[in-house]
Amino acid sequence: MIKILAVDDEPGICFLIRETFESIGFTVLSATNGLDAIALVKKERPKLIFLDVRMLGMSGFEALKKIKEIDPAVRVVMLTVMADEATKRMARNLGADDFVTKPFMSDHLEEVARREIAEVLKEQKHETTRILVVDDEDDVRERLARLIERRFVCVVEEAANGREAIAKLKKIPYDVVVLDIKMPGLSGIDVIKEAARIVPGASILAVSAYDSQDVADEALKNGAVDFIHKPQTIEGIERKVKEILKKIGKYTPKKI
Amino acid sequence: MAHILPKDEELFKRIAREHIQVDPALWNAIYQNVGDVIIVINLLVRSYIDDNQEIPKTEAGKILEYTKRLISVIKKIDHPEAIAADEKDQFFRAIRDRGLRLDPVTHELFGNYVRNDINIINLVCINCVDPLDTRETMTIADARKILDHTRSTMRFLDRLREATSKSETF
Amino acid sequence: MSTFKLLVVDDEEGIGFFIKKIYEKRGYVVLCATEGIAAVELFTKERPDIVFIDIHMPYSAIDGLEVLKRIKELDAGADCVMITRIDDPETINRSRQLGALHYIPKPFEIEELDACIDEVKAKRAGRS
Repeated sequence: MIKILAVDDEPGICFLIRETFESIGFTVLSATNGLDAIALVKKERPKLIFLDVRMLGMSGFEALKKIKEIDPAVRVVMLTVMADEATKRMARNLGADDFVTKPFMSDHLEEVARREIAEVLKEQKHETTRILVVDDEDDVRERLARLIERRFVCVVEEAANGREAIAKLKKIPYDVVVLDIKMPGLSGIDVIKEAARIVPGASILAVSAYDSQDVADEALKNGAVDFIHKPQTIEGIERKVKEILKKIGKYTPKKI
Repeated sequence: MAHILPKDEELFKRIAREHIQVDPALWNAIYQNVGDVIIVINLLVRSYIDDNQEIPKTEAGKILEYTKRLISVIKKIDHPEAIAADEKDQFFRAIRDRGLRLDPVTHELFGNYVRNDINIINLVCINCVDPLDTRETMTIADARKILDHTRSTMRFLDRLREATSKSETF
Repeated sequence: MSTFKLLVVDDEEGIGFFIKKIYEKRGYVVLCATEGIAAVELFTKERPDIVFIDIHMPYSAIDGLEVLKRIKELDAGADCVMITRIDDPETINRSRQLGALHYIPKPFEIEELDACIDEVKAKRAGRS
């Protein structure tokens, strides 16, 4: 389900965009100012944003800059009354992908959107599945990584503790995080909370040393999508990771 | 690894200070069931690596079978209520009937050593017997890892026994 | 001189199995029993040089101490090493009274067995 975000302080524009795209099957979110837009980008990770250049409060350019910091890959189409070269150049420099001049016809909007979404889909096909394995025991972490790598087409990276994990999460939008929730230092639950905040799109698979419903519930409550306890079986790990990858549309088994 | 960490030393001291005792049924269940299987795994590994031989995948499978026995012991210790009605072992029967559990201090130590050792031995084994792993044998390094963890559990059992022992030394 | 013979009596089958594997590689003959009555029978037939006996065998008809007693009745000079739980002083004392050579606490590694074997070998060499 591809999400589109419409950002314009004129509610009529947002309405028009919603009308245009919801009927053809997209999920449309809207914001009337830059701050709300940024919050929505963090939470919802839309693939395409229609962003008004001129808004009250935070300008469109400022919002564009901040949005690109959160998600460099998001496609942004600026909505502007003045499509002069200076504006266009400024926007492109900040990372915008296209322009639509107001007032616009909805079929022109659609055309632009389809072009951008085609780009998004093209990227998605080649978008590597990224999995982060977090455990303070080297032996455990390395072996889990190997087990996963053998079975799925993906890139698996490792972090030895909570801090390392969070640092990595800030840089890369991992699809799945396999996270030991009993580690010294930053506790697993704190890492789940932080990870859910930074990379809301990441699916966290909590790993616990204890087969305890309480621990599982706590993990799920704080943002994990699933739970597995040690000692693991290959089938268990494979099944849980496969389920998550299928749910996010990134399941590609490795051919033997 | 096989050594006791400083924070765990503190826990052992607490056991001595607070005169924490492990119920004989619990102690015997752990000691006998974990102890014996750990010895087998230790001997199996040594029967290969003492001669610098790599353990074949099938034998790694055997270690995994023994590890599964350990895992079921842990399950019974963690969930005494789930111990089967037809349980043959007298100590597990007592544990089930009296709802015996480890006290929090011993439980934590047990988790840091025995449970952790078993989890790692398990992971090393499943990684080795993985049908998608192209190697035919377990590396000597992996075998040594398993050996280290058998020793860690052995050492823990000794320490726990010392710490909770009522009798004078002889 | 004939090959040194071990008899291992332990209800955990794997223990005897791998002790056998390890020591056969070194040229010893190793026999195993997982139960007391069979152990005594094996001793009678084979007259091993050293017997390792697990004291606690809950499903065996006779326990390790009884095995020790019966073996000593057959051969007073038999070298028997008891494998035992170290927190069981009464049993250890009883085994000493019955004539056990040593006790080895569980859990053990091969080195503990080696030490006993070496001792018995030295004893025999000393005698001959």
